[in-house]
Amino acid sequence: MFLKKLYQYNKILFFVVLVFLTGYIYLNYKWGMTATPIQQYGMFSGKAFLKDTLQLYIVKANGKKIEESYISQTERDIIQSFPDFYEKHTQSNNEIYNTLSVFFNYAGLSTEKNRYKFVNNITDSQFNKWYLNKIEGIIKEPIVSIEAYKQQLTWESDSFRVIGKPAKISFIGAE
Amino acid sequence: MWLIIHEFLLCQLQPVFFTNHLDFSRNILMLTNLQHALIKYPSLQVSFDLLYILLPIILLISCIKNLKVQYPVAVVNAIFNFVYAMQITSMSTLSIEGYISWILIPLIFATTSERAFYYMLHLIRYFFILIFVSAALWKFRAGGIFNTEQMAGILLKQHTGYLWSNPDDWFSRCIRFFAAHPVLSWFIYLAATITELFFIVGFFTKKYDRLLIVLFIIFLLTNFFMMRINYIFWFIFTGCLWFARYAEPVSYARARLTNIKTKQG
Repeated sequence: MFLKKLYQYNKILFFVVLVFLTGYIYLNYKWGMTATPIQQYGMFSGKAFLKDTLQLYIVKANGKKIEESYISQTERDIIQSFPDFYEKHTQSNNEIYNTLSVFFNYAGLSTEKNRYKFVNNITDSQFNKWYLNKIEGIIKEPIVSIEAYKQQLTWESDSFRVIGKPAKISFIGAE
Repeated sequence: MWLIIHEFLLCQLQPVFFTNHLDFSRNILMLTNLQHALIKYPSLQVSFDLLYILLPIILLISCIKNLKVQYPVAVVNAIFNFVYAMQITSMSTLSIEGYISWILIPLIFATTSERAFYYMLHLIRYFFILIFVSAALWKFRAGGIFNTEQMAGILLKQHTGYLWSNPDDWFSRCIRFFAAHPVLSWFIYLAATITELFFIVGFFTKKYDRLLIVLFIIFLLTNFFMMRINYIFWFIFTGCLWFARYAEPVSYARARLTNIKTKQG
């Protein structure tokens, strides 16, 4: 058995591996926090249904809707994920800091000085400028006008059904 | 190259904000405030990108030329890749899972003897197998495997923007076909889970390692075609499966003892 051979070869390495394995099993059992290189490889394991409500960001630049079927997956991620990340960053970063402050407290690290490290110093205007730059890179032309909307959808008999009205994204627009 | 083409180096991305994750290691690193420094100073972004590209090249040269710096270079490479991955995945849509290979593989070369190399290579091989087995177990634990709409639901979520934009092109028609036949789609999900679970044989024998490489390549291609997810970063792990077939090098002392016994005999 490999572990037995490893123990005979190098006891320190053997115990490091043992600690790593214990950590791997524990963090996966606990379901929540990770500690890279220990990850939870549970991508796409949570239940997904045909009737799930889906979220879509629609971006109209220079009067034209950006057709996502003509761009790469990474460019689609820029359109779909970054506005979502930006919208949620303050809340999610604070929530994570609050969860981890339990551990930081033990080491006396949970101070106001440290809290600011986990928070972004960014305004809507700064994000907008950066996002416009990224969109210009995708459509390969300067942006004169831009609008972004968030739309909820569901799948119904071979096509999407729109749920409610599209919500305009307030932090994206031409300056 | 993939990162450069898709403008996912720090200097190309020019990040303006970061998102945190519930990752203990990441948060310890964030206490250094490196994330704010990287956002603030473009020169630091360029330096990080250069190191990220150059360190593996330096490591490769030191391995080929058998230089004494191989050990420290490998350790620095692994640590730096960890730091870089933590930062770039906080500031982009890339996920940390893809970077795991680049964090761990340099450790194989952080060895000073053939035996140490053998053990590190095998440890990383077991880790790669563990990734697949735990991915399969998660599908049971979170219930995805018991849901016959699973694959159809995932595909719709993954390609919402594409389907909305152009519902009638060939790829959209494929996705619509899978959505219209959820049980058939679920069989693909089941096949993927069984494939992941099959990796468990790697814990007990190295006999099927070549088959595991083939299965991994099929997994990689299927993921790329159906999900548009690129797991090419993990391809380097297959090297561990390939080279694990070689026997453990005997130590100098053991070789000498065997030699003496042979002479006495």
